[in-house]
Amino acid sequence: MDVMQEYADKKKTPEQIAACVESGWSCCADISGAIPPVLAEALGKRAASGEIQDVTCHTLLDVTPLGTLSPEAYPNITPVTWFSGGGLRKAANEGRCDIMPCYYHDAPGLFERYIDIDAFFAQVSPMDKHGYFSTSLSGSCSAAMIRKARHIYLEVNDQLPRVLTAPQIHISQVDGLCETSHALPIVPPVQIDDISRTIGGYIAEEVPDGATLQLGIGAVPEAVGLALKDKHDLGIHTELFTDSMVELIECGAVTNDRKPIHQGKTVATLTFGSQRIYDFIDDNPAFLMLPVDYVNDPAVIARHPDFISVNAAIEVDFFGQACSESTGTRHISGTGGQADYVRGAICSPGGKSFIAFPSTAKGGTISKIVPTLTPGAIVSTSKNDIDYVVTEYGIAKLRGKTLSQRTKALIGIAHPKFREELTFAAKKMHILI
Amino acid sequence: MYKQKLTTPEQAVTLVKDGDWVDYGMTTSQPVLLDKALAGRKDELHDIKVRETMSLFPRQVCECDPGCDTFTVMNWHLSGYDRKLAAQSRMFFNPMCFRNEPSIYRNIIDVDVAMITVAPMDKHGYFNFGLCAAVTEAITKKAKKVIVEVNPHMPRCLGGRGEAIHISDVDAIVEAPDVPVPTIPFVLGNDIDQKIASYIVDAIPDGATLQLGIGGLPNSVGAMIAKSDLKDLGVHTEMLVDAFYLMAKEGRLTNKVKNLNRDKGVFAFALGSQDLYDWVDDNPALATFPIDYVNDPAVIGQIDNFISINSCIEVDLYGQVSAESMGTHQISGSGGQLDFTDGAYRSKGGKSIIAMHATHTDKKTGTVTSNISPVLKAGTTVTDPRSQTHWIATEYGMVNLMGKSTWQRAEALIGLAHPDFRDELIKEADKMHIWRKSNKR
Repeated sequence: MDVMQEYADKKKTPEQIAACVESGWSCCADISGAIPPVLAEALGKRAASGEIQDVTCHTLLDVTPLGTLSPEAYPNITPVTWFSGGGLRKAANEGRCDIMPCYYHDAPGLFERYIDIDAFFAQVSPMDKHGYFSTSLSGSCSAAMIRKARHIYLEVNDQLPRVLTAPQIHISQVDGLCETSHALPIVPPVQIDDISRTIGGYIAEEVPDGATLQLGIGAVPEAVGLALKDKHDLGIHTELFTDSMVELIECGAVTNDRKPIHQGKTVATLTFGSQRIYDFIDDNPAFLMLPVDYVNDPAVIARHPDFISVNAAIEVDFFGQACSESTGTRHISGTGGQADYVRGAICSPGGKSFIAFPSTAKGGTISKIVPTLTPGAIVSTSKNDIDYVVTEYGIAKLRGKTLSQRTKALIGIAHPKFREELTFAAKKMHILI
Repeated sequence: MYKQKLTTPEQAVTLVKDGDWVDYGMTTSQPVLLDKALAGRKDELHDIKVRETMSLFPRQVCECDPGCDTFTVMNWHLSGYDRKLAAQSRMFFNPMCFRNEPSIYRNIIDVDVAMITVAPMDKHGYFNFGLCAAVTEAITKKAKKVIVEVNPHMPRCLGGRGEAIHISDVDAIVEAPDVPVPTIPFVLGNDIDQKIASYIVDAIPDGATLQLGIGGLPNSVGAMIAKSDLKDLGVHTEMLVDAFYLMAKEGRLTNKVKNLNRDKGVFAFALGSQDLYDWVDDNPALATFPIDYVNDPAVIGQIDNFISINSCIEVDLYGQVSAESMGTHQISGSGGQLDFTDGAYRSKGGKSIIAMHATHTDKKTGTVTSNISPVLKAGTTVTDPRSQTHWIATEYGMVNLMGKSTWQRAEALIGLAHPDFRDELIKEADKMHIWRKSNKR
């Protein structure tokens, strides 16, 4: 059939699409900008009205308010978070959202093996002349969800960039679509303070020319990015594509020429945040948006020599266990790709993984380097994998060090006002040998 | 930057100096206006070496210089046009395995000026190499100077990788608004091709990944598959041809179960009809890659149920295959035949099938000869060594040679020969000591 005719036949209102969802269904949407806000609103309203019950909605990293997360929609819709943004975090801490523990690189495989998907919802870029919609801002789990889903519903947003290598959905696979035009999520640029800048400077010194980078989310990774502008022939193979990476490409520090795979191309599995990013990735043959089971596969990461991974943490104990996803029992988010990159980078010849954060939190009142993690804290990165830990007081290399050596190194980069207290605790634990 | 680099063909070719190695790339990458302009400098230049592959139209550097006084032209794979010139010593053949060509450029040979046809620049500053990624990036990366000839009719083929060049890597730009992109019409094979195709299609399982070449036989295979009830086929091919477009149009080709580059049809260059070009243009379900990736037997071997289909000219009773010459007369080139013969054999469930008609009729004399010969003609080039040959097909059937001894091969191959030639072949096999007394006759 002619793709335009098929498109016209499948066009519906958001409410009509929401009306297709039946009680008991397991639904999913991928990550951040791939989550369709208008369809989520319509679905949330339908659940709030009580027309459907016992619906599960799996998703990752919400970046805009979602109707499916509203208190009124619960418990007719039970959200499941695989990695949380603000809305999922709030819902989880209020007891109306379930949590799926996972490594991000495992998520597509977990969906394929363990999760029934009655409906896959996606925000996509407009249909091309061959009848394909791109999942645009997300490589992530979309390809697996498309394969697994019994029904596919699309929110076609004419403001979404067309990303050439992102997973594609053909009109023949679609059950219903609605058209929208609304601005994409814009995250205000992070304020890079002096502490982040200092940390960025330490890490930049450890980055050789020709290194391949993964930078996480937040002020410290952004500061690292901006501190690399004088390097040469860097490559990008990252989970999240960020503003500082656009900067590094445009200033010529990143060429991707020395990467052994995808030479000349920037590789990512997700992006969102600024118009600059959206303009950069639109129809750009030098940008690859690939599935996360490939991009975050530690074995793929490890194939890049001098792989540099930078991620943040909430607290790190003397063993080097890093918690990045909770404060005690309070849910913050998921493991995401942190462990994938730590494990990949330590297997890369010349590779280094950095867990970086300001030495204190809560206005300087608590140390983020702690003798033991807060009870209930989730270990995101194992003591056996952790490599470098960085604060504004320097770098502690933990890999290959004993517990006693680790403890001394970590106390050395803790805020000076906490060092005495930490040393006292370490002595009490009989670990300073 | 575009305006600064935009110039006339005549001005652009002044980048070429005496003694230079010029490169035209392959098939649709070969320049038209730049070729004409370079030919126009015949009397002022000396000792210009031009490398190219498979010309689809006359080359002015050859036409203007029949005595080869200024231009020495070398070719990696001959087209019909090239073949005639090679037979007159006006063009020289460059032997290679296709998968090795990029590394030959990278590590061994030099390029002074590359002249390459490209699609119009996109908003990020990239010129797409169009229908031919194959070796193009390796050539442009090695070249000291790069001139692009921008053809607005050139389809844009998405990567993969190695599918585009950035304007910062280009030295001069010329525009060719009125040059058509060469097409090859889709023509089905004759009855013999149909017969061979039917054996081949029977050997293809659901979910197989295919490599096909060009010509009547692959076209017949494609048309037959399009009409079959085969499901979820994939494509991983050096050359993307109309046969694949037919399969896709009928829903046979989904790439869904391919265990490498799933959801994407993979190719290194495309050649065929305008319908094919409209299908490949800006199509995210296809991805083009350099030939050293596509044709790497280690890559091909990772894909389960890989079926490679190629044709040849002659097979001897040992199973040596020639796909490129008759005696010392060079017809085409090795291309990727050996790459896929090796790779498809490595694939779990894979088959490399080399197909040909059992006989050849000389157009001038009407003499009929067998394409299965006791020994190859003196001077004939072996494209696939007998140690590598897997399946052979003619209109008399399809046999596997891998693992077979010399007498088993002779018996199997004679079974594929035209019945009129079988007694003669048996006599020769006997003389060659590869005929077992109890062989079937």
